[in-house]
Amino acid sequence: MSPDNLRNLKHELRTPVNHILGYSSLMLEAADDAGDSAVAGLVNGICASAQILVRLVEKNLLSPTGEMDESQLLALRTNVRPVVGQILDALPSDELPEMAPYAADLERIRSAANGLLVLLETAPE
Amino acid sequence: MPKILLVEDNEMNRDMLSRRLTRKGYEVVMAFDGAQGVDLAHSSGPDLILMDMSLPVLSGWDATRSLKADPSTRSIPIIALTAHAMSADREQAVQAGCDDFDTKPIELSRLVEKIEALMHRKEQHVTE
Repeated sequence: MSPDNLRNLKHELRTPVNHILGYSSLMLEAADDAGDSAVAGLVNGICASAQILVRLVEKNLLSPTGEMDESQLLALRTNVRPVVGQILDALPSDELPEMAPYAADLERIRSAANGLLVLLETAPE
Repeated sequence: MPKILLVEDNEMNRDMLSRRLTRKGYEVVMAFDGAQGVDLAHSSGPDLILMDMSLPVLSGWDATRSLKADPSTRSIPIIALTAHAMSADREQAVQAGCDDFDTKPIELSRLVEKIEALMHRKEQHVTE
């Protein structure tokens, strides 16, 4: 993968990862303010997974040569996919009554996580 | 209530950060590109500006230079928001005239500390 494609990939991957982290942090703050410990507990796990994603993207895309080969891209996919899967599995249904105030943000996290998976699969090699 | 001008072109980034800052007690005014950011800095009288560096129409770097060159906006503290944490990017932010620098993903407590430090410094400067 050329340095330009690597730079673009890094930017493209960072965007949904930052959205997952940002919206889960926002939900956690809102749940804490509302004294909603059950929701806070659920979202805390998602925040933690999002932090792992941030580290994975930074670590796997920090190439000293400015390039990435096919095996590195495969490693990135292998490492990131299960974490995104954990996030999607952990997202509570927005149809639950207690999740109603958070429905829009849940959907944004879900959309960012699915978008991230698509990006990984379609990244140019 | 302190007023922050947030200049950020990505809609979700804008939404996330503005809501989190509002929850912390700030009034948030938003601009979608660098040129609008410069206009709103003049018209809305913010106490501080959060400037994304990758902006359409006018880059965050150029918007910062423009604001720091203008006596009517020079004293408004500007915090650069960037995805890059390397020292060259910090240096570029300082050279453009930014008063501080923060990296995405935003860690809110860290950012608020920087906001408060700059606002306090500005108040002290005004009262001297």
